[in-house]
Amino acid sequence: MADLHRLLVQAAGITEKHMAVITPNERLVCPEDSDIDITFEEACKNAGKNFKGWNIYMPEDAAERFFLCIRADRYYESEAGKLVMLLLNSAFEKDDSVSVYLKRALEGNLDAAGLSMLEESLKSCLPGYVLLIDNIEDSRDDILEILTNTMDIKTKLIYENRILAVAEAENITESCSSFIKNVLSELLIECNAIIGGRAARASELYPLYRNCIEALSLKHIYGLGNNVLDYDGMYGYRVAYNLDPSLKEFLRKKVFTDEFSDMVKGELGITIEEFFRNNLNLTDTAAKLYIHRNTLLYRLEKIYKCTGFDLKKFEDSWLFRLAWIVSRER
Amino acid sequence: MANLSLKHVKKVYPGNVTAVRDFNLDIEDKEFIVLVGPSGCGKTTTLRMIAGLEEITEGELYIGDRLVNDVAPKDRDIAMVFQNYALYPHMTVYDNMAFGLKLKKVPKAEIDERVRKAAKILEIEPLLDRRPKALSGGQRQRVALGRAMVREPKVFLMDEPLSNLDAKLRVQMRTEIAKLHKRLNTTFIYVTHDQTEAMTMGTRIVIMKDGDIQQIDSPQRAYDKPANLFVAGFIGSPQMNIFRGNVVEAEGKVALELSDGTALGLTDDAAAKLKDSGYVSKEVYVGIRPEHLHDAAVDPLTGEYSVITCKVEVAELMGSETYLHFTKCGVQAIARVDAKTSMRAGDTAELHLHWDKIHLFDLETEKAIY
Repeated sequence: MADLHRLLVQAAGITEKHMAVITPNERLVCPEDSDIDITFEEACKNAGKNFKGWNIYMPEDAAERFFLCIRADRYYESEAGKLVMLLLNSAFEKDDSVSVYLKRALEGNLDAAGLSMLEESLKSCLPGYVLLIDNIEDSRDDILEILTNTMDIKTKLIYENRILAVAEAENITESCSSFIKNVLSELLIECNAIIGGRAARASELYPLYRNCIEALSLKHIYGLGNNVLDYDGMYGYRVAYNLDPSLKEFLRKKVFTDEFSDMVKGELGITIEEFFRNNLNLTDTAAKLYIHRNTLLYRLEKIYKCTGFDLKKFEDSWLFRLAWIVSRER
Repeated sequence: MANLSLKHVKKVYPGNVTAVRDFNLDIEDKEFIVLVGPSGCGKTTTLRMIAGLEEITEGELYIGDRLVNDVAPKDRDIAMVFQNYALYPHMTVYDNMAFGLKLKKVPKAEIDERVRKAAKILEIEPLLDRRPKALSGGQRQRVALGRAMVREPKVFLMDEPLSNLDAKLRVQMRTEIAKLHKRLNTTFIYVTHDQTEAMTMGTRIVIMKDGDIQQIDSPQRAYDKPANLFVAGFIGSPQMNIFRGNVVEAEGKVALELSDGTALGLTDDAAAKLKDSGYVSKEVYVGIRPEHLHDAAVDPLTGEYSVITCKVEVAELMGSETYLHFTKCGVQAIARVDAKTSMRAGDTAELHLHWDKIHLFDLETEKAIY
């Protein structure tokens, strides 16, 4: 348990969260003065839920050897649990496969010597793009098969029913898009491919994995329909999420009056989405919506009259876009 | 049997955004149905609901006699073909087509039989040993179709499969998919935003706008008898010219008068319909297809026709025909006339229009009157 305790301290340090590991016979808490009143039996019953203000996580093999509890109030933050789970799982396993090295690299808690060993073991895998494949249902083996046949996969591992891979491709976004379509064609499963970024060294895997988790959280938070998410291309959503709550409220109130909220549920909402999708190009937007350019201008004028934002103007359009994103936050 | 039935199907996304409203459609076995409409009309959402990739908010979906609302996509006996075909780059055409069946653990002999059968239908037998890089765009698209075909599904769902091809190839593949449908004798449901694809491929087309069905009809009927102003404009290329005109009655005869004083005669049936429905002295939309305007100098009409004069702004020779662009009553209009026309920019043209080629729509509801 000494190793486990050390890992828990490190995980709590990295994530800045209160954590506890509950086993049938013991309870480790970090920081030690954290107040947790959950028994092993209660943890069994409430695994995968938020119970008494703690998110309870099960080990990935569901063997109920231990439960990890993280004090959490938001899903976005609770994603840290999956990382810690990885870390704890690896503490229970002794395996020198590349997958385990990869897991350890993700933990980001190795000293210089350990990192150097990891660099060596992952030498053939890097540089490469860190990919997270989500929503693989019960077809992980088939999806892995499709993934390895669609792009050059250097290494991969499965945990918590997700695939983490290091891949190389000339155009990673296009390759991910092909992969998604292949899975859809072959298995009729719509999974998500999240690109965390390109890692050159083993020590970069951990922050890039975090990027993937953040991108996936943003997809859920903003109800994004894209199946391929590139963290580097999600600035708008990252900025919107991190806005001060009072500023978010201000934006919502400024743009989404009762009248406007009703208006955007119909064709006006589709018009706004299409206008942004076509980079504020009037002609292209009108063509896609099959409306006359003047009809589009009329609709934009309607938005201007209702909100005071003229979407044809850059200054107004980016602020409106921000408010539009904020309004979709779940 | 692969008939489909969608009963009062509705899709509402979080935030109370309605993508599809009360969609009702019965698709016969072996039918080629095309869902067509502009961006955001709900056509892809409908296809995705049929595939099971999108949950149905309300209503029922039957494939055959089986209610499939809660059936997983893989158990619906369907196959999907997408706009950006994605082949496995390191596999041969044969392996690309066989891959899905291998995953399903289909016996090797059966895989071979199905792949070769599909390759024969698609006429890609000589390509089976090639890799995707060595294929043209059209050949790749055929392999993508082959991958769906070997599954031998009851229903093929196609989501804009041709939209990433160049114009020439698109025309070629359009014909090939239509031929394929005849050979396979299976139900096809095809989504496109391109009205030409819809007109040329579908046995019936479903025209959608803002989540609502505007018209379900054969391509010919949708063209001849558009249900409303939207369909009238959407179906046909170049699109229908739409003017506003007053319904006038003089000496017992009902006719139309455009804002510049141009008088348009009406058939007895159209006149009676307008009169009986109380449109006399009211304004209506007047729809005239460009191909129904004839250059009086080279292709004069006989019988019951009206004369429209206009000043030609641009004359576009298209080869077999010429498009004359002009402005009439503030509306930019097009006449698609015989290529023999001598009309050029700046000329005053006299155009003939048969009375029975006029479409009339209510000014408020935009529904077809006649």
